[in-house]
Amino acid sequence: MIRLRPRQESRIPVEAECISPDAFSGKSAAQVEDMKILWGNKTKRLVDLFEVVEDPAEPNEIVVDGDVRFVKHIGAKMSMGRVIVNGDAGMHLGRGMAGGEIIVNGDAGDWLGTEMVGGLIRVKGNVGNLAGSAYRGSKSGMKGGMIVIEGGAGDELGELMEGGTIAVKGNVQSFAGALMSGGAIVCFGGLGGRPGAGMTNGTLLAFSQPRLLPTFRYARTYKPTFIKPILEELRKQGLPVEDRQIEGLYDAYEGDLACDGKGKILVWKD
Amino acid sequence: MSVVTSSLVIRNGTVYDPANGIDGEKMDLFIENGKMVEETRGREIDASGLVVFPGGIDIHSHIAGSKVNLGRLFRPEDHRKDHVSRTHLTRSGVGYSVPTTFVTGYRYAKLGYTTIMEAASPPLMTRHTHEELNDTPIVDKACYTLMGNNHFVMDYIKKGEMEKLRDYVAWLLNATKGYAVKIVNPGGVENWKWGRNVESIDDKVDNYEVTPREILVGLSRVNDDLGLPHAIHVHANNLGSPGNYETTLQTMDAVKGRMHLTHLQFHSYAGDSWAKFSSGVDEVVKSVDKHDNITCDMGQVIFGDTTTMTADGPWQHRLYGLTGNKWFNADVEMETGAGVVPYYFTRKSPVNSVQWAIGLEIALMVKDPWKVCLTTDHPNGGPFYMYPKVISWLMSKKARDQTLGSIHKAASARTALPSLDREYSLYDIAIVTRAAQARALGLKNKGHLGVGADADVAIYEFAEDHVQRSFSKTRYTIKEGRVVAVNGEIVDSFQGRTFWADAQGGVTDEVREAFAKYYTVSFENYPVQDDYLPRAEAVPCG
Repeated sequence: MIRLRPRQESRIPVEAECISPDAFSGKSAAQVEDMKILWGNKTKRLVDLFEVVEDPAEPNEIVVDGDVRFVKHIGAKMSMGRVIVNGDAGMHLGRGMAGGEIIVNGDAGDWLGTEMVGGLIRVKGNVGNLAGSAYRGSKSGMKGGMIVIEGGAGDELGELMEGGTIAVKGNVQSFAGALMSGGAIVCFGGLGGRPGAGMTNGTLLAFSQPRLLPTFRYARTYKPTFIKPILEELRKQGLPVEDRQIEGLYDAYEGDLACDGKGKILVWKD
Repeated sequence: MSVVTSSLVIRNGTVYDPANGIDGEKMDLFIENGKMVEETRGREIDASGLVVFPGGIDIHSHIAGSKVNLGRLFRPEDHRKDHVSRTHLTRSGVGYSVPTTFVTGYRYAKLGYTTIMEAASPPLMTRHTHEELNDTPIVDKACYTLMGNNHFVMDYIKKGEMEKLRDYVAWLLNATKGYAVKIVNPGGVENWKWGRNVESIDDKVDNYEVTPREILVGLSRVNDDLGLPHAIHVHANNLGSPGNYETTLQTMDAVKGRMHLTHLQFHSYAGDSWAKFSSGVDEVVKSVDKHDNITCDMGQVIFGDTTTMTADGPWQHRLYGLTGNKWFNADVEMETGAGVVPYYFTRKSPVNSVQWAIGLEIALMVKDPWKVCLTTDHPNGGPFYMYPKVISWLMSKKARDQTLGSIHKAASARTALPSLDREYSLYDIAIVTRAAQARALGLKNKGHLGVGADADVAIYEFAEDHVQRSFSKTRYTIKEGRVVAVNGEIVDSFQGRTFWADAQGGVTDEVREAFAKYYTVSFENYPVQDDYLPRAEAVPCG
C-alpha cells in the first residue's frame, strides 16, 4: 500500500492521473515520488505535493490521508486495486475507470466516474454535478460499474448512461438520467426537475414523487421484478433498502416521448 | 510586407520537378530572397540520398471560416484525443479531424505542404475566413468564394444579363479577396432554404426559374471571360447518392469551359439504392479522359472518425438522418448555407469500403495524371495528415491489397480496384500533390522548382518499403527560402501570404439597392478590408 499525505492545501488545481493502482503497480516508493503531476501549468513531482509512505501490506492499495479537493483525476482509468481517500476528493475522480474500487470518506467534486466502464466508487458524502456522466460532445456515458453515493448529488447525474448502476441516498438535483439509453439510477432521496430528459432507454428508480416532464406518460402500476437484484446489491453496499421497496408496487412512466424513448421512470408507491 | 531571407543551397538531392520535366535527377538547387535562382552561395543543406519535391499544394481543404469553426466548437470529444501543447516557438491547439488554425499550419508544414486552398467561403462570412487564415502559420493560402446559390448570380443568369454577372463576380472576388468561383450543389442549397433540394441539373430552382446547368454554364463563361487563374471549382449536384455518377457525367457534358470537379469520389456512385451501392468510376473516368477542360481531385476516404462539413445543406441533413449524429445547419442570407455532421468511416460497412476503393480507382484509372489532384476533402473524407497513407496506396498495390483484405468484401466485388496494377512513381506523386495542383490553380510560381519559382521545397527521406512513413514528415520543409521544419519539428514560423484573384469589376445601383432592401449588412460594410490580408498577393486576371 502507498500512503499519500498532501503537504498543504492548494488553491491551484492539481492534475494527478498517476494516482491509480495501475500506475503505481510494480513501482518503489522512490519511483512513485518521481511521477509527474501538473500543478496549474507547471509539471511537478508527486513528492513535491505529497508525502509518500510505503507499506508492504495491501499491495495495489493507495490511501490518501487528507483533503484533496484540489486534486483532479485520482483513480482515472484504473482497472484494479483500491483507492481510499480520507478527505474530500477533487473533480474527475475515477473517470474512465474499468475495475477496482474507490472509497471516498468525504465529498467529491464534479465529473465523478465520468465514462466509467467497470469497478465501484463509493462516496460517504456529497458529489458534485455530472457524476457518472459523459464529457461534453461524447455520444456515450457510463457503460458499466457502480457508483454509490450516501450524500446528495448535483445536476446531470448519469447523463448519457448506457449501463451500470448509480445509487444516491440523499437528494439529487435536476436532469438526472438525461439522455440515458441503458443502466439504472436509483434515487432514495428527493429527485430534482426534468428527470430522464431525452431518455431513450434504461431505468430511473425514484422513492419520492418527482416532477416529471410532460413527455413522460403513465403506463402501468406493477411490481417490477428486474429491480430486485439491483436493490439487493445496493443493500449489500450498505444503503437502507427496505423489503417493501424490493417487493412493492411502482407506477411506471414511459418516455422521453420527445425522442420516441422507451425508458422508464419507476416511482415507488409507499 | 516582405520577409527577409538568406540564401540557401540544396546540394545533391534527387529532384522531382514534373513541371520542368525533371524525374529524379541529382542536382543542386539555389535559393535567394525567397525564390529559386540560377546560382548563389549560402547556407548549405546536404540532400544526398534525399528526395526533393516542390512544396505540397492542397487544392481543396476546409481549414478556416465559419463552418470550420462550427465544426471545432461542435466536437470537443474530437479534440480530447489530440491536444497540442505550446513550445517556445509554436502555439498550442488541438488536432484530430478539425484542428485549430495554428496546429493546421504546423502540421501541413511538417508534411511538406506549403500552399493550402480553403475550399469554400460564404461571402458574407469571409472576414472570418481571413481571420482564421491569418492565424494559420507558415503556409500560403487562398479561399474560394461560394457563388453557386447566390441570389445576384441566379438573378442575372435568369435574366441573361451576362455582362452584369461578369462585373458582379469580379467585384465579389475583390470584396471577399477570394481566389476562385466556388459552386456547391448549384441551386440545391437555395432550395434547401425551403426544405428542398435539386435532383438533376435540369431541375428548376424554386423562385429563380434557373437550373443548375444554367448556373454552371453561366459562371463558367464568366470565369473564362474574366481570365480567372483557376477553373470554376464545382461540388456537383447529388453528392453522396447512389447512382449519382450520371449527374456527374451530365455536369461534365454541360460545361464547355474550364471546370474542376472536386472530391470526385463522392460523385462516382452507381447502383439504385444503398444495398446496390457500387462504383460508377468507369464511366466517370472515360468522361474525364475525354474532356481536356476538366481537372479533378480525389476526395479519398480514410477509415476512422472524422467530421463532414460542406455548404451542401440538404446533403448534410440527409447524412444526419442516416447516422443520427449531431447535426449543425447554417443559412447564409442571400448566398448559401452549410452543414456539419460527425461521421465514422468503418471497414465493416460495404458502402464505406466501396467509397474507399472509388477514390483510388479514380486516381489509378484517369489516363493523364495532370488531371488528378490528391485530396481527402479534409476533413470530409479524412484528416489531411492521412495524405501519406493515400500516397502509399497509390504507390503500392501491396498496400492496397492489404487494406482490401481488412475491409468489407464489397470493395473487391463492386469496384475494379483489385484488378488495377498501376503503381504511382515518385514523379506521378509529385504531379498529383504539387505540379498538377499548381497548374490547375494558375499559380505560375508554385508547384515547381525552376528559376523564378517560390522557394517552397519539401525534402524527404524516401524508403520504398515505407512509403507512408517517408511522407509523414519532411527532413526539411522550406517556405519562401526559410527552413521551417526539420525532421517533424517546427523550427521557424511566420505568416504566409494570401492569394486572391484581381479581376476588374464593379456593381450597379441595383446591387446597392438590393443590399439596402435584403441584406442585414450595409453595402459599405460588406467588402473585406485590406487590413484583413496583412500579406496579400493579388493575382492579375485576364
